[in-house]
Amino acid sequence: MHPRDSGHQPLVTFKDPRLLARASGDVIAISKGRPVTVAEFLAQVGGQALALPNAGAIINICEDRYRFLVGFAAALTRGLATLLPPNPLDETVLAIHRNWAGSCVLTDVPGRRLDAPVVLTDASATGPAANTEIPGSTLAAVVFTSGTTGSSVPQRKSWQALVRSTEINLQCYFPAGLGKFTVVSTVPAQHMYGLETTVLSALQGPATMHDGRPFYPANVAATLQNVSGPCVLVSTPVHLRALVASGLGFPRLARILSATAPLEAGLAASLEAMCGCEVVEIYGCSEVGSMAWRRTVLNERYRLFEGFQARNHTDATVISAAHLEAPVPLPDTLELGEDGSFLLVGRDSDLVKIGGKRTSLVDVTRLIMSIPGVDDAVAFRVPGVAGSTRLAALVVSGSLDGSAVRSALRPVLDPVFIPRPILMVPGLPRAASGKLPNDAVLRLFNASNAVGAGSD
Amino acid sequence: MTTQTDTERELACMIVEVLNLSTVTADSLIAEAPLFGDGLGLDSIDALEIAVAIAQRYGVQLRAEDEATKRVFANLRSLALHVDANRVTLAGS
Repeated sequence: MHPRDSGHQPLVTFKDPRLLARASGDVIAISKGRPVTVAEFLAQVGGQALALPNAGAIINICEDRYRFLVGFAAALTRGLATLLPPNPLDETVLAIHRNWAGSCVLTDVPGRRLDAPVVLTDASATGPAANTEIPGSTLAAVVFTSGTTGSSVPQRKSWQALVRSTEINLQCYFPAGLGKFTVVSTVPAQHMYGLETTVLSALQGPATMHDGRPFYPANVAATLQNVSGPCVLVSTPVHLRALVASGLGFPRLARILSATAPLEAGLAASLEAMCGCEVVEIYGCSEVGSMAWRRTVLNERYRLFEGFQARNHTDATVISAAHLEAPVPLPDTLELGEDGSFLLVGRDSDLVKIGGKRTSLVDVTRLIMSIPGVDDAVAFRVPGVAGSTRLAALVVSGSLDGSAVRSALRPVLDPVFIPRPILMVPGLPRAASGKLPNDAVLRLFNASNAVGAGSD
Repeated sequence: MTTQTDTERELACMIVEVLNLSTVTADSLIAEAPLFGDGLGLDSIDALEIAVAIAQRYGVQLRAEDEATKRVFANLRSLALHVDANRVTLAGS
């Protein structure tokens, strides 16, 4: 039973959303192989809350997803924001710490030494049941984006906004009538997509969170085999590709969710056959969170979640929803249909104009990716070339060299857009989420260019 | 340069091929040098690709839940020892 009012009243009169929208006997998580009820969870949240400082913010870098959940909830009950670093590297964590007065680091790794206050989680600590009435205006989470354009910008999420968006998300994440199910994910809880699908879905929805973050296909298979009852796998194209290539057997699943990069339709079809379930792609960005979906094998077009509206302005596609404080310009260009569906056309900053012609980096990248033998690729601008837009490409292939890629592009791409140079590289510097930070691409390009690696 | 065992040599070729390390030759990979971080500089996605290639060739499925696996992936030598200890003869190979 949902404890909140429905949407018959103006937003301002909503009751403050509770920490949990589930019964005390529900199993909220599987931790170390054991089910954890909501009542047990709340006692642990109480224990964790006692160990947190009175003010400041919590940089939660817990690797164990359940410990992350306990830490996140404890911070909320104390009115402390959780800061979500894009990776757990010392420098990333310390940079956030330096920018947030009074912030401390919450980790589940004993002995983690940082030049910042560190709180180590204690799985055995319990305390008085915490206050679960959370003022909606509480700054609940700050996500630091690692997008392909520009540098890191903090995205502030109020508790009210997270709860409202989770209500919408849950309708599309999980098929109706699934009953009780467990969510297993390869995505870190610190990523917006991981936070929404694995953490908020457990607090506000019906999901049982699995505490693991299986990495290799054998880990994913073993984790899924050990879950009893229906299971939803939340992952990314990089991991899902490895699962199919591994040759391992996988159990039937209730559903697979994929996000962070487009999934090839052929791969989606293989996954659907392998796991006997629907593969659903989620589209979102850290500024907004999840906002649209498609079943890849059936639709090229995404459909917006209920309550979202998209409009094309001259310089950006703008998304609005009741829970967003203001309309948000998207980093991607959407080709909107009259029925509210859309195609992902490209990233705004990816628009390339050369000699009066225009294309997008996404399109050039897609063309390179479509060449048989190409495993991964990215086309990008070479900065610092005054007065002209030069494209370059980094390409991953086991069988092709730069000139072969160039030959394959010549028939399908206007010569002005064919990247030069095309550098063959062993892999692209994708973040764990699958994203490809622009600065990492340029670093790899400069390094590869300097040694003339596999250049055409 | 240290001498590579047969399996180390095979794995070195596989790593260079799978990851398309165009600036590195298989026989130049030092068996005790770290594959990740300061060594060959591989990342977690590379690890995923190497794991899939090893599964396909040797029938050995790598896992990552414990310190033992981190040791397996420490360098070419530890990886080769693990593969030799766990490999299954695949039909037709």
